[in-house]
Amino acid sequence: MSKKKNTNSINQLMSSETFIAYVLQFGVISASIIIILGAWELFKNNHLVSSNYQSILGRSFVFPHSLNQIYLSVMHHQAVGIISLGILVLIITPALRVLSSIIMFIFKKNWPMTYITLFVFCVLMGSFILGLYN
Amino acid sequence: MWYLRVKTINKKSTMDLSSFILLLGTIAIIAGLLGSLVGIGGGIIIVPVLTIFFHINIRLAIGASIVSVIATSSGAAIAYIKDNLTNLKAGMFLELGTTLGAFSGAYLTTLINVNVLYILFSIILLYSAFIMLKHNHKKDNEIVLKTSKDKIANALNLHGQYYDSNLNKTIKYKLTHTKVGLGLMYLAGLVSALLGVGSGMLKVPAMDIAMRMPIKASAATSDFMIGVTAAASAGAYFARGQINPILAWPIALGVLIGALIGSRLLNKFKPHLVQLVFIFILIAAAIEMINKVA
Repeated sequence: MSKKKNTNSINQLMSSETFIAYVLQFGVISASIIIILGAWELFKNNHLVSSNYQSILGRSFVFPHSLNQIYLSVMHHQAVGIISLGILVLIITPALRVLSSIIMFIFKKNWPMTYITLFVFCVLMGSFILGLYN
Repeated sequence: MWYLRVKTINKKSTMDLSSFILLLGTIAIIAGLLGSLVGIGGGIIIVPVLTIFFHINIRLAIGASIVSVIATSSGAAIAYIKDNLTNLKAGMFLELGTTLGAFSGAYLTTLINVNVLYILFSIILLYSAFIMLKHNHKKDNEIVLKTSKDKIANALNLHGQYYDSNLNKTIKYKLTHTKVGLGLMYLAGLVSALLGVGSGMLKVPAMDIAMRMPIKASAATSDFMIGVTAAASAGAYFARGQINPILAWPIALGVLIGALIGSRLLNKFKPHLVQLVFIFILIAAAIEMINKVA
């Protein structure tokens, strides 16, 4: 009896628009927490933080711009890596939102909107991938 | 330019990174606050401020701005979805246009000369000021469509309704001219990817005027869509190394915080005064961006 109740409420959640709001909330909050952790790490590095601000804007300043580079940077507890990870989570959040919209439309059995949202997701993925291989 | 005299002193002065970050954050909070009061994302102010006052490379400025646009959009969308203002189906449908536009723009931006970006930015700034001026004189009672002959809107049931807390009643509306809307959204996506802005200034009129969506629903839906549009180009900027994390993070968090505060203060401020201040800022920024053309 309780199992049926559980699936019913999951059904209700997934087909409601608040599900999407929760996904967005989760994404923004997660990204913010990671960024704040990275910022804390950044301010621990007194040498960088008290140097001229131009030092981070020059061509010689290195920061990660691929998944592999982020992974390595985070493993070395580097502020740039952790902050980049947070930014990446932020960039992915809308994609997650589109994904949750697809799920919502499937649960509502709205097939035209499912296909449309799926197409939007593919364009999003396409631009991510193309960016990585440019 | 008398209003720049104070700032030009800083042009040659150096400052340490922590002060720079603090300054960026403060500017971003103000940008987010003002922006949310008039219904724009911070992006349209952030890029000019970074390039004009800090002389930061415009591509880096755009990269940082695009991240802040995602932050504000996602943050605002949470409230709007819960308030049922956002027209989810219409928004997702129109995102067909914006994502394709952003996809094109993210690729195009590598081919375009920086000076062209400055000129384009000026045009968009002036256009935004113009749109805001028009809105300043707009009457409050808008006529809502009760029937629609638009095939796509009817087939997908893109029509919607929302509860207007000002008028204390539920407003049902129908949409039309979906193909025109889609085309305008493609343009909005293109501009967003090229200039690092949310293009709310293009999306809201497209939905409001072309598709006859009530202004409150248009603003909410636009905010919702902006995030996806920005994400479509952000991925490319990120991979090209045009998103400097140290530059981007105070701006992203600042604009987010500013927008969250601003959305709470929305009712307490006279919108007309804020709009006038904003129009001045937009025009001043447009002039300065033109000055940057080599």
